[in-house]
Amino acid sequence: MKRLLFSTLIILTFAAACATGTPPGSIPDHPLRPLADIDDSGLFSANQNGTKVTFTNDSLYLLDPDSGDKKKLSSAKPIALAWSPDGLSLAAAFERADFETELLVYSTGGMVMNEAVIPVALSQLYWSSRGDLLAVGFVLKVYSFGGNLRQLLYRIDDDTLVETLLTDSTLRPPLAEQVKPLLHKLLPVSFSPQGDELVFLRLHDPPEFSPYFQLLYQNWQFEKPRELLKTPLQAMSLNWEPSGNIVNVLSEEGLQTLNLWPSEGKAVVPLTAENYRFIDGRLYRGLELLADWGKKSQIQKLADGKFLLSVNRALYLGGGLKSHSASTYNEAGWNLRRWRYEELVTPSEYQKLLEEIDQ
Amino acid sequence: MSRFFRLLCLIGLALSVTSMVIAEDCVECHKKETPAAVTQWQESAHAAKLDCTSCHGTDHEAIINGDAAVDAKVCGRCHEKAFHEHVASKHGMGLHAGWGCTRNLDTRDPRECAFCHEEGSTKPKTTVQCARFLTQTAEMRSLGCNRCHQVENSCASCHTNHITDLASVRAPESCATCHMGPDHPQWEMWQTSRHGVLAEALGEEAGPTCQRCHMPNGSHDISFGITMSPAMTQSSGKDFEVRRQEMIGICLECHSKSFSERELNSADAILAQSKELIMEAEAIVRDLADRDLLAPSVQERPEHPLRGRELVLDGQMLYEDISHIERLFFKMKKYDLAKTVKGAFHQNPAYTHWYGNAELKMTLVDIKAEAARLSHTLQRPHEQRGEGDVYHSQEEELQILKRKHDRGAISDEEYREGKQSLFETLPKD
Repeated sequence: MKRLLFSTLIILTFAAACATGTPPGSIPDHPLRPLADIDDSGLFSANQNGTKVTFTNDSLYLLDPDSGDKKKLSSAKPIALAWSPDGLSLAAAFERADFETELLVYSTGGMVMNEAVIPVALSQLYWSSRGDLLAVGFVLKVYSFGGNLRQLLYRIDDDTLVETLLTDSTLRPPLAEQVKPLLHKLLPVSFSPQGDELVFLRLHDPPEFSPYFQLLYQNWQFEKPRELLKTPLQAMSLNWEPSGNIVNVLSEEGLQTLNLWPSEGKAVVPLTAENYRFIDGRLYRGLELLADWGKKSQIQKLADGKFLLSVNRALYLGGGLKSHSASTYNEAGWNLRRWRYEELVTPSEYQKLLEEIDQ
Repeated sequence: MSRFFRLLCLIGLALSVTSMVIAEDCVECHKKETPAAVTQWQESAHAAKLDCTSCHGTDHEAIINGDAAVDAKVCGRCHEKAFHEHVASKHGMGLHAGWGCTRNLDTRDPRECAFCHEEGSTKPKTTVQCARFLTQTAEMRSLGCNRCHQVENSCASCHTNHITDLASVRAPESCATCHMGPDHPQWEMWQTSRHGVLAEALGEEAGPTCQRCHMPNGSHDISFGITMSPAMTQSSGKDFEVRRQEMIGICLECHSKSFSERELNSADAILAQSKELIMEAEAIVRDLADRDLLAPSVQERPEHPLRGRELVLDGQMLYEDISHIERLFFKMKKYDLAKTVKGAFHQNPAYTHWYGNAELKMTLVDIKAEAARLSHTLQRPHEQRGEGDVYHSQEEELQILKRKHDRGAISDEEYREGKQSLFETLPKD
């Protein structure tokens, strides 16, 4: 358990935002542009082309980087923010109780357009490239005889809330009590850049054996997840490559890069020169270190090579990154990815069809 | 020595007196409780040699709890030849063909365990299970399934419990209890065949009974002369030849060899022709399943007790929680095929043609009509979901191709080519 606590603190602190120091620089020829001061929570989000930026500084604000206009959206502090792919709607999640989260959808003018309450503690809020607002959360019910841990995916579509059960685990009483305060950090969820697929952990606590995690991968349009790996109980961080084909898993064992659709049967792939990775405050392209902003910094990649960076309680706009292929983010790419998950097309057929769409 | 011998005699006398007392106790009490059973035993051949405890044992509580059933092995202690013939025959596999473990069923009757397990053993006598049995209530399993399928373990299925007069089991009516009805009307088709009519009018010498052909000379090998499995699969090779010659040997008692061979060969041909119709119907149903046009679909219905979410059209097919077209197929395979083929082997033209062949072909007409209705009137699944774009339409075609490929209906090459032609229709922008 001590090991668990230690690893939780060490590995996941790179996701927290307590900025100190000064940004050392940026991509050559693309200096960072200061936008606003932000609070210790370090929560920020911009729409894809970077024309609308939201951040928290004790309250929730909306900023137009070009004009410098700033508007207060809410006095309450959200726990997650996500912009719609068309850049016209902002989703903000607010913690209402232990296992209750309120979701509000704002227009770019700051009006509340939609609201919903989901009976879970939020793990991830995401807006898919197709326009689906997605939220994943968990709920733990502890009884004298054990605990029931469930992870649920919600799709918010105007007035409808579609619920999908991702995991359902029974925990023995000691483990249920031990993990209860750590679940936010123990159950990371990461959506593919397209938002159609996600990776998440399922906690198993089998009788007579040690508890363990199962890393699962699922296209949410289908019921059945696939197992990527099993691992001892530890804090982990998950994130996807822009292609939506590769997942980076950071754990005590180091960084593991998992190719979800290996063409030659290899699950672990070498780094490629075009892949950007942001790990522990460092931005890499392939193996080349582009910038080091410190462990507490955070980044959001935007369109046209731009990015948003938080360092030292300040928010910056940067540029100079290479853009990813557009085909995987359009409707055709979305459909082809679904076919691949359903095994209607092989990985090589998928790749060929994707290239034909690009031509 | 003489003292020791006297002691042994005294012990022997004491034991026999105890046993006699128990047996006398049975009769005294059961004359009031089950008088017919006592009378039947008293009038039977067993009464001269066996008392109640010889077969039932002395543990009255076990008898009451159903733990001391008089099964075939008890009878086999004396009737050794009959027992071994029975065990080797299709009757001896009654449970193998019809049972399944009820351990996890809500409706389980604990006494059912004894049918498949030796006392104190968790190892089942059989691993073959019956989906139709497992979907029944405990009452239906007892009265509707076991009453016939218990024949494997129970001589009483045919002989009854206490009567030993063989006249009752030599009467063809004895077989009718189980071998009748829509799934295998052997009794009805024999009764109305020339064989049955002659037997009824002029006696067994003129027309053969069930026992005369299938249990000649009192044999308990009821597989005698039969070349088909219960699922109507023809045996092959030497086994076929041996069984066929056995039956021809029976036919020769009244008919010429050429006539016998011709009749049985014709029945074989009718079996093969009828199975062609079944295969045609099955392909139609499977194609609909590939296209997700069955209602309820396999995903929407309760899981099959043995195969889960799988379309089951073989001997484990259910007749409940299925689509209408599957219900038609069930009738065709389970009823119509049996009437046609068994009618042919039992020399009953009306069963062979009108109850069997005509129904078989008319049900195939119904199946084709239902398939056409489903194909033309039902919206395709992606249309029902309001997903009318080319990707969802092609996705459905890909799913159909995949299902066909997964079940071996199309080759790897046909699958690749089918997919390629679909890819070519996709918009490239």
